[in-house]
Amino acid sequence: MHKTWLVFRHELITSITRRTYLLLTFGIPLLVIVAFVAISLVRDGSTLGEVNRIGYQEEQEIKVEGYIDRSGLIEEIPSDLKDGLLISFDDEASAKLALADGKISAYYLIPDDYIESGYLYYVYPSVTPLSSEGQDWVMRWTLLVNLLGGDQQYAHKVWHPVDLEVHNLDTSAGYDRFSEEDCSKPGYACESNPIVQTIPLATIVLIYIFIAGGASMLLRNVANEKQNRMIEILITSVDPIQMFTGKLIGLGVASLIPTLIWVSTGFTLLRVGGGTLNLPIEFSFPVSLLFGWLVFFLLGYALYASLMAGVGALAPNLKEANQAVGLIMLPMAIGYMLSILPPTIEVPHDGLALVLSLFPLTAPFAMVMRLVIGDVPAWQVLLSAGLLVLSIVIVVRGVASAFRAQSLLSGQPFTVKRFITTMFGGV
Amino acid sequence: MKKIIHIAAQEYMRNVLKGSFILALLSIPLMIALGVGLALIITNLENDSSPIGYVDLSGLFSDPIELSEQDWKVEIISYETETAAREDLESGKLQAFYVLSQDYDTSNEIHLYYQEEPGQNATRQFNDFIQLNLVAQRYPELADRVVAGDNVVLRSVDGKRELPDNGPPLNIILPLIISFAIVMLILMSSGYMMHAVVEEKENRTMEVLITSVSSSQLIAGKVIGILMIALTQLLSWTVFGILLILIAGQGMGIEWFQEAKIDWYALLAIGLLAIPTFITASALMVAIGSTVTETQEAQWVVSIFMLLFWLPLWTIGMIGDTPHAPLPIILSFLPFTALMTISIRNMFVVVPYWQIIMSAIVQILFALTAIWLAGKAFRLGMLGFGQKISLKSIFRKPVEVRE
Repeated sequence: MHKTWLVFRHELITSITRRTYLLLTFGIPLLVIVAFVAISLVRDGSTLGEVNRIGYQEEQEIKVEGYIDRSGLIEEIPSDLKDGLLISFDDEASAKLALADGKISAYYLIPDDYIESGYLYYVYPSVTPLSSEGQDWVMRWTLLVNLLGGDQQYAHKVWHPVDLEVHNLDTSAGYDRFSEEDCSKPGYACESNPIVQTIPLATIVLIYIFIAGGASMLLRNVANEKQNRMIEILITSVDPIQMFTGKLIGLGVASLIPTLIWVSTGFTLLRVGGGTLNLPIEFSFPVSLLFGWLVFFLLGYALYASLMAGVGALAPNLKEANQAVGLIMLPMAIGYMLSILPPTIEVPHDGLALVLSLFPLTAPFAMVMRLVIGDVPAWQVLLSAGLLVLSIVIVVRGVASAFRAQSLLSGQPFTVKRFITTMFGGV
Repeated sequence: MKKIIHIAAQEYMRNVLKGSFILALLSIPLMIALGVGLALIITNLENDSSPIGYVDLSGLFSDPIELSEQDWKVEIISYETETAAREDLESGKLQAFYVLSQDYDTSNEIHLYYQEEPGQNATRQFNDFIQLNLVAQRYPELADRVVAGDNVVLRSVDGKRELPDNGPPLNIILPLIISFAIVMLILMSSGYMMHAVVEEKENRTMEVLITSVSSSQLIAGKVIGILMIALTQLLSWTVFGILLILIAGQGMGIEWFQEAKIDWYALLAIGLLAIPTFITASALMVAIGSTVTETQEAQWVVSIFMLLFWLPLWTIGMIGDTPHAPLPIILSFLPFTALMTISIRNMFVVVPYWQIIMSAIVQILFALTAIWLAGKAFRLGMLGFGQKISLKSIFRKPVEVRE
């Protein structure tokens, strides 16, 4: 036990005093805080301007535009549009001139074959696919009214034919696109706050980064010590299992520290922040959720780090170990990718999401996603955690056999077959 | 010359026969296939082709006309009573049903009943169905036109850019895809370049090599070899791209792929910037490879290069919204970010030709500086074998030795 403690202490101190580690742990949150303060300052300074601008937009909501009607369809401008809002031009050259003079903000070109093709050209000064500044609905509305013989009431009915009232007959159903907004917990149900919507995704990204980071640290550590022959000296005085346990816990704590700092910084900023970065008042992040997150993070780390340590122990050098990492990273990446897909997040308690949250290699990501969204039956959480613990026990036993002297010192090349047989206690 | 060809051939064969090369070669096609696959899965999950029902209490649509053929067509079944529709919903025959209220004519009120969220295609088609029948009551000849909606095409004042409202066409996205592939190519090739230098330093082959070839022959051979690898990748990706466009456009009849046209202006801009960027990245990798002693040490430097190359992609929203703002213009001139930024800007606006020429000149100057730096670092690396070389020592003036 004393030796495990010594290994743990050594790994923890060496890891947390590295420059890159300190930069990652404190530098990035610091950068986020600086950016956050800067954004807040800029926003505070421009608040008045923004209010004025919005007020101006309300008054001038619809801009004056021109049109060239080659189809001869437009006979009247709908009466609900202000006079002079749409100016008719005989040809494109005069519309261009008016645009250049600033008399109109854009113009429409309605071709001869509009009724057959439906094509309508909107000539706009700044054409970008991401721009939503246009007001082409003005011309579409005008064309519809004229198509329907100028009867505005009838055109209104055609324009907006359904005033929907929704009845979900399944009372136990979760969120869908017709549901009312719910900002009391993370998830898609909070349509007005992008932060609350992004929390499930951000949580999985975070858990992925730190499990992958922590597991890679252990792999590099083992492979490095094997390559520079340090391990030969170490195993003369420490039992391989004690050494592995010390490393696993030491590097686990080392990767947990930045996780907690990142999460608490993020949460504090969201709580104190103003404007769009603020969380709604009714939003709460239950303690039980944090506990669940921590449990699955630690179990996920223990499983993946043990597998990585197995690779590190079996590969003859760091280069081969790095090449073999893909074998471990693949299920991790698949679990992560499938967990962040919209179908999994939108239907979190059935089908794919349920299977992923029970399968040990994908459970740390999928179960965390489900826990964040909420309403996961307790038996599923316990079963998932139990299966993870069982897998960890099997893998740790396998890694322990890989940590025996003959495996560590063999110098044999890394093969998938040898890795799998070792993990299942074949060596 | 013979030695250069020999080194180039050896470098080419050594990398091309590796499993990782095959994986890199397939990476772009695989990524595209994965993207298309994911999009298809998501579309499949959002849509549902099972029938929907409706009960018309208003009596307005007693003799309805049906919607024309479309993707994910849903059968719309009329029911006399709400009970009958509900029974079919509960038995799983329907995905949802609508009830048009008695005063629908004045209120527009329609009730939607379901047990599981209906597909987006179903709700959209029901909306179209109501619209079609409303218009058909008075103007049957215009009903299809109104339901199909307008095809609004955004056009720039100079007429050089046209964007349909259903998303940018392939010919506008194509330059960005080509730039993306070239950036991937540059990153992979420069990675090979760095490994070619570091690995041989690490395993001490360099000492043996340098006894029979000059350092310039060695570097020239390696550069040619890696250039050939890059061309092999580019050729295979191009063939894949053409095949994809042909199969999807001609074979499967997907309209979006049939509109593939080459924007020569954007392509020329890519060519002008890609060549010096490739040289800059490769030369800098040689310089880094010469200054470090281990592969692992060099890897984190490569990750910084990757960040710079992908920076324009992360800021695509900002570039797209304000393509002529100072930041996108600055990124258009900086090495590494220029290629991707100009391609992204070309997607939204026509980048002025003077900016492309100026950027190309800047990239050429950077390429020349990088070659000079690489040569110097490589020579110093040879002299101080096994030692880490600082950046300061590369720029230091050599001390003259008098006999």
